[in-house]
Amino acid sequence: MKTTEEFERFFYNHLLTDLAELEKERNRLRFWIIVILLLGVLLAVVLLGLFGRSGQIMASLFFLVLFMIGIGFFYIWNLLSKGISKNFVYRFKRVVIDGIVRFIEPSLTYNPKSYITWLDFQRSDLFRDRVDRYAGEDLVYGRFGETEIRFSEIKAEKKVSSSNKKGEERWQTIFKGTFLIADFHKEFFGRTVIFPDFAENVFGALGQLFQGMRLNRGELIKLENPEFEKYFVVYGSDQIESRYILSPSFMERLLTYRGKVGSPVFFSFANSCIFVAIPTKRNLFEPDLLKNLTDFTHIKTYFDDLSLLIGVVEDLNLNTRIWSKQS
Amino acid sequence: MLIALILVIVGIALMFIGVWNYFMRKKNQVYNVSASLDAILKKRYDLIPNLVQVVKGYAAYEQTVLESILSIRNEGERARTIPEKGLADVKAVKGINQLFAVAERYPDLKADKEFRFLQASLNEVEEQISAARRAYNASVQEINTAVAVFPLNLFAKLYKVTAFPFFALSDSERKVPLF
Repeated sequence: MKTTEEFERFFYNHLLTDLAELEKERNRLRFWIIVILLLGVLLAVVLLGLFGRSGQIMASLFFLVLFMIGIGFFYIWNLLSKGISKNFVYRFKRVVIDGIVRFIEPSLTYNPKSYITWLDFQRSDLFRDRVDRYAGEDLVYGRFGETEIRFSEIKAEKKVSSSNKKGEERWQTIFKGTFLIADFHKEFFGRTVIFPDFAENVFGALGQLFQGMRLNRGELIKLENPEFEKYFVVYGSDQIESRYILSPSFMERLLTYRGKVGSPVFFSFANSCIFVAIPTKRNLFEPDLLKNLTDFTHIKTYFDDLSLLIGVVEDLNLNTRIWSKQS
Repeated sequence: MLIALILVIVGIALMFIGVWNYFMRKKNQVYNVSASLDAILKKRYDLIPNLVQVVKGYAAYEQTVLESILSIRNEGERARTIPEKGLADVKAVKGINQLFAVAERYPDLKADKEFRFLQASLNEVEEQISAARRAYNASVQEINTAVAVFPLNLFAKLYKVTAFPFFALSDSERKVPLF
């Protein structure tokens, strides 16, 4: 994997020229955004003056109108900012994200409009809820060494019954974050899923009892590594196969990877592939209009996020092909 | 009063049945994993003659090592109890390591496609054996804990359930690298 020092050189030698161009565009965008905001404030002030003159009896009407203008303004603002920044976002992704992906591993391809398919999401068997709405973006795919890898941001939601009388639709998020699929270096036929261990962490021994009761997930696999057991709960269709996948050193690698991610991570193993789901609220590959694009520390966050995802191949040692499965 | 007595008797009967079922489930689990372990050990012992045959083609002078690994393989196939299998396992790992050490001295052998395939298969089988051994020991630990702790130890005596032997072999004893 590329180091931060290597990336710094790449940043100053290759990215910076394009970024300076993009930065000009960002400043233009920022200017227009400020103009729109100021217009909004000006409109509010004018209205305040008008209603102020017509007497205090209109106060309640004034607040109502102001509220409605606020909502209308929010929608217009949303449409405008999306519209004017669309081209900028596309250019940013082409220059920064695509550039960093190719810098880390030239054989990988980036497609900002594509994403992991719903079928692949289902194949992981990590989230069994009915999915009614599925979307995503920022697909990275290709071969890293011996390993096929692909990942993207996705959002899977389900429709839940409405709570208000108007019957408005309410959506519940099943998963939002980064979803990664990589070819696993060992051949296996069953299914093993690894969840973050919320139950045991919160409820202790009682939690362990709950874990054992999730029978539809298969057999609860109790592993020998206490640290691993503290963070994860494992279910598998075949006890031996799950342990074959989760060798002592591989458990250590998963633990280290979880430490690097710094938040709960879901893993599953099916169809000789490894699925990694990292829930995040942040939209990882979008530009931040409030930050300077020529600032190295800012662009480095994109490099760090992409390195963490592409680095799963090395972190989990997936390129080691000493078993009969060669590719 | 009578109802209370009946409830107590039914409760006690259910407890005896429950504990019996628990022990039977755990015992069956041990037998089941043990059978899987046997199957994977057999896979390894089936691979050894093929490997020896390929090595012989390039390193016919290494008769001692080749004969030794074949005799270890036969011993492994004859092993019936868990301690015997454990002992045979230690010898087999040692023998396989010797065989691979021989291969290191013959570059042509190392480059042989069939040899490389067999080596990869053996690596896979070794890791499967490790997984099966860990699964077996985990099952044994569960039932042995139940046999040892109060009050289940009283039921264990009543039902004549005894502790199972562990497949005692630590990973550090095995020189085959586990990934």
